[in-house]
Amino acid sequence: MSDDGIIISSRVRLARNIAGLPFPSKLDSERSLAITQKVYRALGKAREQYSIIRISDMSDLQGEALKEMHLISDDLLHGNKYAAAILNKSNDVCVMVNEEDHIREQCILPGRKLKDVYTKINEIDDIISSDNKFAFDPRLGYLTSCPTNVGTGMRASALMFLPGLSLTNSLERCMNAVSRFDLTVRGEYGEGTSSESCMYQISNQKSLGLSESDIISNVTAAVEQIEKNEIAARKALLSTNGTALRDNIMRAYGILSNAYALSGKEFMQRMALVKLGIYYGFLKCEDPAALEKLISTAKPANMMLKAGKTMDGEERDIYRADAVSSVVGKVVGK
Amino acid sequence: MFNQRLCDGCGKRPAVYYMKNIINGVATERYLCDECKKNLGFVKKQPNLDFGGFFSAIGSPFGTYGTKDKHHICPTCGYSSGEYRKTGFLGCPDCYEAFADIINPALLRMQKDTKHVGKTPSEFYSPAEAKYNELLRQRDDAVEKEDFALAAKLTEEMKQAKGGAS
Repeated sequence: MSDDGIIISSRVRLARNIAGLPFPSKLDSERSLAITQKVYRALGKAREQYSIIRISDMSDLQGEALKEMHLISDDLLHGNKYAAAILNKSNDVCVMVNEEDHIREQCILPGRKLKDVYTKINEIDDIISSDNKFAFDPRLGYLTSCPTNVGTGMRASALMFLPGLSLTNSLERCMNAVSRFDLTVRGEYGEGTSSESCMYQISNQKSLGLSESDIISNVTAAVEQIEKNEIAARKALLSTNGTALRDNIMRAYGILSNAYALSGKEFMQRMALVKLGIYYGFLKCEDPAALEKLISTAKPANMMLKAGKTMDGEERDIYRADAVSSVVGKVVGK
Repeated sequence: MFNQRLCDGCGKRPAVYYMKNIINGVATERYLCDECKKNLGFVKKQPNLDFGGFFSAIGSPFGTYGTKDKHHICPTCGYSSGEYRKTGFLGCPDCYEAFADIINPALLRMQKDTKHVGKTPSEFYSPAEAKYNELLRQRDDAVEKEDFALAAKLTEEMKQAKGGAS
């Protein structure tokens, strides 16, 4: 299937624990810190260079900014004080240490790349396991602090942009149709999150009794099925209410290009319409990646980090409007 | 475009997370606030959070409550099966064995399986053993799909691999 912008990113996470040690919530400081060092040392064998960021050394703003970019989890940021993130230079691989499990290896790449993502994170897993004996049971697989992750310890997910299914209220019906794949669908509400942006995370629910390649195949098949439904919903949306839809899209483009102040919620709503307009060909976009990047850079912590100062809500809205209009003005046109 | 709704857990705070689980065609939707999401075990911040109230209301995915249930203590880390039931989290890898009679039925419910068929760390099996196990898994799949030609081919490959695996 062509690159239609429906699959925003692909991500795979592997949960691992060190054999013979209590899980992070029961682990003392000395051994927690030792795990970080051992994992970091092992990653010295990787082709890319990695750097450690300890949560305790991180400012609140830095931590939130990394979370907004989906590089670290809320658990890592607010949980264990000995937690750390080990990141590669391109920021597509992040190994979280002392989160819910000792080690959470994750790779995220833009677009439809689940297989590539797994290949990359599997290499990292081999490198880390060459220096660390993982807790593993031949019957149950990789042992994790929560049994919902036991087995492969794997969560494969795709972030999908589904305005067609959202606006036609067909999301639920579509999800039921792909239920045989044992999926979980997550959307998030609030500033800069999924409901306004029409973005949904589709991931496997089952981590035991399936091989890693089975999980990748199942999620891929489900994602493709959802994608077909999304395309059909977009056609239906256009044929039933084309004029109003186009008008809303062009108004959203006008607002993103010209607003003086823009809340996070309004930005996400208008951005979803502008992206839909690009899909229909009502608008042209020279650089879809720059537009997609705006979604994380227009979030509060990322904006404040870039501005080099803390800002209240009103200041942020003005800053966001300026940042958005400069990117949209540059890469989107009629 | 969307209306903000209240959390299904507490009914007070605005929902910021939408979760939908589909198991055997039955969809369960939850709209949750941050706090209730953590309490449900999707986010773990404090090991001693009390999940009892919520799970007794919705049914614990990690094992049922009841006076007949045995109380176990993990000999390695001292974690109790009661703590596991409350939080859904275990104390150490050995807890899987210590609480096997609670965890295994829960795994069957949650995962619909109790047997790992995926990757194996290299220190557990020799490459030949790992290859044999993988062929065995592929043959089981082929038999299940009634692809007997492929199953026969895999059986031959298993015979060859067995020399190294034994």
